[in-house]
Amino acid sequence: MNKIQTVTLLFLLQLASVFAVLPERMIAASSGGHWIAVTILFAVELLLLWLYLKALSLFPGKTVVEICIGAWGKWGTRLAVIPLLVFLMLDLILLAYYQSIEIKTVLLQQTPIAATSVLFVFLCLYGAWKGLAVIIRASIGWFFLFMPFVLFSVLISIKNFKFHYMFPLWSGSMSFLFHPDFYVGTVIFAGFLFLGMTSSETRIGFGKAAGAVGFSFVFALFSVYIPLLLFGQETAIHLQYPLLLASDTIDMEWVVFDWLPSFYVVSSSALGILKVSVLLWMFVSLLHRLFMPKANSRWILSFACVILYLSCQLIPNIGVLNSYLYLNSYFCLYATIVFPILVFLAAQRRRKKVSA
Amino acid sequence: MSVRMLKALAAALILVLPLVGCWDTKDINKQYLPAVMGIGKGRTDKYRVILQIPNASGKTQFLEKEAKSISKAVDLIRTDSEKNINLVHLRLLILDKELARQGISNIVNFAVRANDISIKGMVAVVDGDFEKTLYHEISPTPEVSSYDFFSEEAGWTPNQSILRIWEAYRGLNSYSEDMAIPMLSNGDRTLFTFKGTAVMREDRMVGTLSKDETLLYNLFKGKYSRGTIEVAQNTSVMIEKAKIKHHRHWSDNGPSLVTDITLGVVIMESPRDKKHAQIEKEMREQLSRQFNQTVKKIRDYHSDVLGIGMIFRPRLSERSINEWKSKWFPMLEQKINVHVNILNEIYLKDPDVGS
Repeated sequence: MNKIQTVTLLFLLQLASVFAVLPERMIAASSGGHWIAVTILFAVELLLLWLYLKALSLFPGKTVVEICIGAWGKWGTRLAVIPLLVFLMLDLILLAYYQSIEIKTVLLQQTPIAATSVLFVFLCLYGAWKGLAVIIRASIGWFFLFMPFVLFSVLISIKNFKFHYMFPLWSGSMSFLFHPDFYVGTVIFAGFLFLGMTSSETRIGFGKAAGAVGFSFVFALFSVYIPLLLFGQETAIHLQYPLLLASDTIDMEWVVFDWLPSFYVVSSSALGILKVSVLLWMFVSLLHRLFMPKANSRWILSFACVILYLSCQLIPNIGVLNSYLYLNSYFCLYATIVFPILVFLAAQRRRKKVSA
Repeated sequence: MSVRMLKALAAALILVLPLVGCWDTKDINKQYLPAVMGIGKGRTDKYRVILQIPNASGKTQFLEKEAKSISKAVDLIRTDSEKNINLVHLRLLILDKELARQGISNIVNFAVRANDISIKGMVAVVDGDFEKTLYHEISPTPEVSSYDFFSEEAGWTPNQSILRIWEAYRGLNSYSEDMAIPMLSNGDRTLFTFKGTAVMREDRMVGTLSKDETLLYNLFKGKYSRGTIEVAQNTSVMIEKAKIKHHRHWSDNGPSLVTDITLGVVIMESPRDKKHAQIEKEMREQLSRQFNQTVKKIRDYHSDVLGIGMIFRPRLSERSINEWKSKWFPMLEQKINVHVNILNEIYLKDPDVGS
């Protein structure tokens, strides 16, 4: 049972990042053959996931931090974790700001971000306060509450599809690899990092994790191709929230609610809350374990939330958000590519030590 | 006070947080919710904006202002009106023909950019007197709205074209299709009469299609069901289904397209002894002639309003897609063959069969 919950949480975290960044960034990064870019992202993720889980399976019952401490000692681990912490904090701020601005744009145009983000940060504080075990359990409820909305808002626009906008299917060049927006998309990898910090009874194997990632890959393709099939590449590239606008193209009188994008915003913000809670919990527990073992972790958490809230207010506009996202993609690459490899190497080294 | 009490108090205080959703809220009875926005040429300024606001008593209220930009005009209306104006229920954007001739990219951009206007709203062009059409009212019947005119779940028929704001925005940007906007004017007993379709090249109106010619446009867009065609004196048929097959060729002279349209029709009216085969032949000849004339007309407008670029898109490279409108579309050779299949889904037999 616990394993199903963990798999669900992994899937929902993947989905949260897919909806928040993927359509806009992939359409900006590549002018044709978007599936290549999406597939490359997910293939890399699977590889990293395998390394990460392989390392973990060698030491059942131990978290990534303990594995690293065993291999490199406390200072070595601290050094390895610092960029990860920077990534987590930046990603938290950007995600919270992004969700608040999405709520403001679509639902509450008069309400200042200061007011909406209070509620947002508070809910995330509550989630992280309860700890990862509770979030993992809650994910089942989340799944049943919001997946129908997600599916509904994603698939309802199928009536307006123009399938010929899928072409060109093959752009011939890999130019998206040199586009910064493609690397912003790597934040979807951050979803699996929490797997290394769960307790042993909720730990899952590679097969199940790959299943969750594979399932979210389908949604990732949907999220990129739905705006493309409706608007076409040349139009979608101008849109800030392509998937959201896609659900606004539907005009059906039998749908009770006139304003269909609100379904999308509500479900994607709910997923956002889940992701921010998990990242917040990771941030606090890493900080607590490695840097401030004496401080009460709940004080650290409260303090982190205050910083999170204040930083959201300091971002002046979405252009600045973008420049931070580009900056954050360096840390993201470290946290999601270098860090799992480091953990893998640590595990190998530790095992040699033990067997020698 | 016990710890338990304190906790309960804290929990109660937390309930205050959802109140942020009520920030700056305005009661619905303190709001005007316009359903139609008319944008015309101003007498003194660039734009003249007219808002039609239906109210509960079945009447329509009209508000109007002129300004250099649309949002400023709406703002001026808001300044003078007693209630707040909220555009979330705007369903129909009616443009003056003059403006459409000069280009509508600013207007469409405004409608997509403004996040209170839903992009599923519809766009139409006034062919005739702009002011008269916008201020036209029929005797108050509260359940009739100008929006129902286009609604596929209400009064829409295959003679009318239909264009939504997001489709207009796509038409402005797309490399492989142009858009067509329905044209209206005020009706006598009805709110509007349909006048035909405005053919656009990028953001500019370059020509018109009549009501009959609109049929071909709708056939290409896959919207055809239940349209009635008059074949000859006293003979008319209804289209039940239509099958369209495109044969694409690409030679050294550029693209060419042969389209086979197979119409499944039901005879609605015909003289007593007229044979089905004859109706079929007449119809085939008439429609072939008409469709090929329409195609030629559209080609002379240099507007890919039928979306031929979309048909060729799977075969084109990214570069040729970019060049479609400027280079390849003018070289296009197009021909339409009509086939007619008479479906006998009525109570009478074919006179030919019995004798």
